[in-house]
Amino acid sequence: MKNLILLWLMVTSCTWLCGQDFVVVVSQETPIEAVSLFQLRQIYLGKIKKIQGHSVRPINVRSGDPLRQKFETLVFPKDFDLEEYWVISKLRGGPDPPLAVRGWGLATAYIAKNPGLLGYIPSEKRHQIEALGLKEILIEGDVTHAN
Amino acid sequence: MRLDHATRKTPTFWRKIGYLTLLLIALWPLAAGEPASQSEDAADVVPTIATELPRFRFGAGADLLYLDNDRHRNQRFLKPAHLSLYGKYTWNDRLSVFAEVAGSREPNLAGVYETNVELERLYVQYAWREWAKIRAGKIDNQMGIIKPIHWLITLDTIRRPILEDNSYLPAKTTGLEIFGSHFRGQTEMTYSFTMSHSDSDVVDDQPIGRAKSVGLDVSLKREGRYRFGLASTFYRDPKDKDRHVTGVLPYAEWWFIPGKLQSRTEFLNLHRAKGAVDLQAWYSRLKWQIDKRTYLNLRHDQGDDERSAGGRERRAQTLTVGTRLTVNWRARLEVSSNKVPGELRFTEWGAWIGWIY
Repeated sequence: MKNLILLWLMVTSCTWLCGQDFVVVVSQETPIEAVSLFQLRQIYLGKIKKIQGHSVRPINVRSGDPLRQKFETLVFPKDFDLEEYWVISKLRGGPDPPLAVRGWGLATAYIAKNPGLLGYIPSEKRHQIEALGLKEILIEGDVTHAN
Repeated sequence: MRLDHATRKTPTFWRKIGYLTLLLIALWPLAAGEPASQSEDAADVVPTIATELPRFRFGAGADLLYLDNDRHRNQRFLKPAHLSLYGKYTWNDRLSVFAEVAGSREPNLAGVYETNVELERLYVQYAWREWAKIRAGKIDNQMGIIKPIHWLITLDTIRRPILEDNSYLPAKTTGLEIFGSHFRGQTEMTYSFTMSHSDSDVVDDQPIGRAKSVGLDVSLKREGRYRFGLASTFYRDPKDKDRHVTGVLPYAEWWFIPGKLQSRTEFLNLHRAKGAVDLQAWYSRLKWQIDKRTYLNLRHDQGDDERSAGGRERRAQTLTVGTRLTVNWRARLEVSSNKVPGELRFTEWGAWIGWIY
């Protein structure tokens, strides 16, 4: 019964997340198949740099890009002030913000060439993922734990 | 009105600021904005990610402070109060160096202030793992939540809590820090272990200069829910090994309503020389995050205040409204009611506008 509830939670959260406007991708050489939403948030905040023992680094598209807005709306809580977070991190000598490039096309070129790099592309481009040398990774909601 | 004003500006510090400013101006173009590729053409040869990340980051902050209290007579202060320049150079994912020079002049509640210009931080950091990083050089004292040097941005109020305003745990230390964090589920565990000497005096029956210290801060945090921690530092007089001071600082922060209503308490007990009464100071605050940028903060402060009340206990209730006007600009308005034994209760008004790059 417990497993059924867990399965139902995973399916519903994945269904909800898969219905979003983007998919999360890594290079085909990166041995990561899934991340939780919590892990994804921490990766983009510079707090987690390894998943299941493998290095991961985030890449963004430039601020103001509608795709980035959609990504951040999903990944960060509504009241989370991301700009303030990076100002404070810089002042404290903490992690630097992810590299941001112009457009998802360039991001995919970076990701394909740099194993461990993690980014996102519009969901309508899902059919091009293999041709671009990438693979989609599953977002599991908040049901798994960071390592 | 005229305020007592003691200045302390050494030529060496001005020279350091001059050199740093020239260096920062020269490197400014490298630090501007978000890193971005020069080309949109994905067919171009794409470099590895390490070559695209900016190696140098530059930051600066300044503010304007207005204070008005009726403690003894009508005291007013309106001046730029802080200026800081800082930069970080990153060699690779693991190795970096950070430097900061800052000037400050903050009056106490009697209107007395000093002008200080100091090298605030200068350290080398090696991040071996997320749970094991090392810093060596002049660093922030990591004990507790509030770090005085970051008040420009990270504090919710204009006036600092008594325990920080007095720097009972010296704000700066020079030495070695081993620190890190580890996630277990969604709970983040952090620690900081320091072996250093203090850069300012440690309060005792006779102040201890450059006290040798060993400190440990351990905390548990769940974003948007809670943060609990305990810090302890042991200071020893380098001239008298039998003379020591121990500071213990438990702290807690929790959200009553995630993202909206938060409470925080920090308590410091400083155990001093034999026969001396322990020095204590604490504060508790309630913060209402009205929206993403604006908040209302209510704080109760209580403790032995060396800086503003000659070591007598001061009690204060402080109400602050703050907002982030843009990414770079923020503003606060504040009123506090203060009570010191043997004096009439007095009120202080404050306004602050700060800029950060």
